[in-house]
Amino acid sequence: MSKKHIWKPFWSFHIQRTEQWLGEMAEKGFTLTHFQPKLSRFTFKDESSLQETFAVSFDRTRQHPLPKALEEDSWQVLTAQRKWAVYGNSKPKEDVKTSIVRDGLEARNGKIETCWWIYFLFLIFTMTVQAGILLPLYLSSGPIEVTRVESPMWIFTYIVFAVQIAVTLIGIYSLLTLKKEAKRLSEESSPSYTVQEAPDTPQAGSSERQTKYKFGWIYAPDKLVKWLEEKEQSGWHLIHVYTGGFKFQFERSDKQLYAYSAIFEGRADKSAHAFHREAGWERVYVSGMNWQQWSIWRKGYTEEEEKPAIYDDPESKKRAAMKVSRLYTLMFAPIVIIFSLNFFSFMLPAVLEQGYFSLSGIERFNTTVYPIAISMFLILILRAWAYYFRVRRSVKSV
Amino acid sequence: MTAPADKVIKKYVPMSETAFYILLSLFKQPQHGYGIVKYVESITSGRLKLGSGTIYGTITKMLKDHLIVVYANEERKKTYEITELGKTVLQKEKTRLEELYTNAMAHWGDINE
Repeated sequence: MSKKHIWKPFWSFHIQRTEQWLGEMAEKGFTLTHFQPKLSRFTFKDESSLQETFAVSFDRTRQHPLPKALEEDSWQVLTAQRKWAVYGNSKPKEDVKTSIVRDGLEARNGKIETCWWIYFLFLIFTMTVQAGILLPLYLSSGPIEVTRVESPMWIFTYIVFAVQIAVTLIGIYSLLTLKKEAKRLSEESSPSYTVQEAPDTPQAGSSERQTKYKFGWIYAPDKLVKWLEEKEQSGWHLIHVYTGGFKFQFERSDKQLYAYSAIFEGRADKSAHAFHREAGWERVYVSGMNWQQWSIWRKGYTEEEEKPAIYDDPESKKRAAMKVSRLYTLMFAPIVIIFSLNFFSFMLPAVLEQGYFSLSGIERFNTTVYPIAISMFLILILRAWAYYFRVRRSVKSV
Repeated sequence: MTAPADKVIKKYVPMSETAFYILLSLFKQPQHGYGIVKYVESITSGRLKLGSGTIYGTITKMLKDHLIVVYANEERKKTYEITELGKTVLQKEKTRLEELYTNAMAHWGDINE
């Protein structure tokens, strides 16, 4: 019996196409015996396949469970390699009713995407620094002499350069492909969750309107929520939140009871949003990024009803608040520490020794701006923690 | 890796009311997310309205610990199914609750006498 190895690079970036291809291979009379996900290698034997339909699953926990409902629908796990597994079904695709859920795969793709973004940001950063160093030299009118020292080591420079270009090309390809893949995957799972976005454009009309600004609410989301709820109660209905999340448009309307909720997620979680939507929450705002995503939700209720809440038990309320405080501390604490070190060990002594007015212009500027920056970031950290402790208090008093 | 069963049992027993009702609503048949919310609301006569964030957090945890599994049904709706491990954990919790109940009733009896 002959074996056939096939190399399929980037197979995981086109998961549906890969599954389709596995089906075609089965049709041609090849049975999948083994696959090496990391090497993109699929091994078949020349024997007619019992399976007709395939699904590739990614499970970070490496369990690759087979729910009973899938088993009853003729699914089985054909081969599992660490985080990847191939599920097969003996029925043709049209007759298969159930399917596997791809949350794990989507999360994994998102992470890869983030890694590439970090790579490109780093690339841009280093190129800017280099340009910053070389540009003055280039622009200066004086003659520049460049000496190239002959050395066999230049080969490394060229190799690294070639590798860098190759990596960058792979990066561009990955980002473009993953963007399309994300769209395909969300289309595949969308039928049950018809995405209903809140009005995304500012509303123009005859009725009375007002626009209000609210800055920095991400450090005190509970206050934003309270403000929005009070607005609704006083007869101002929120109709639009502008991109950026600090400009809010309201419309005069009857007094209404709305419960608002602002949610922070480290990584955008589409299935969580689908879940809230299904439970009757309306998303009025979502920040554009895929990580550190903020979203604002609301749900109407009546006087007789209890006020709904997305997080309604003490534990998850505290956990949600802790996420916010922790993130902003991690983000800003290093800045505060580095700035303070600089300020207190170099700048302040210099000022005290020489006097403010004997400093040069740039030194004077720095000694003024540093304390302002330090206190600004410190205030943000403190606000985030004040928010956490407010949540904790409110939870305890219940 | 799958956490050893005892470790999971230790983690979940005693469990929160939310966790208990999620497992209980999946005991007889698989349900989708909002189905769980509705089911719990109906068997507690409207007392317990689970917040979607709370329930989502608990479900995510349970999926990780393999108490439940998820698949997409005919309408491609995410449907949750209890595993054998999930049933074991629920059984342990039920035993604990029975003890609570028996003891409470025994002492109630004393007072009423």
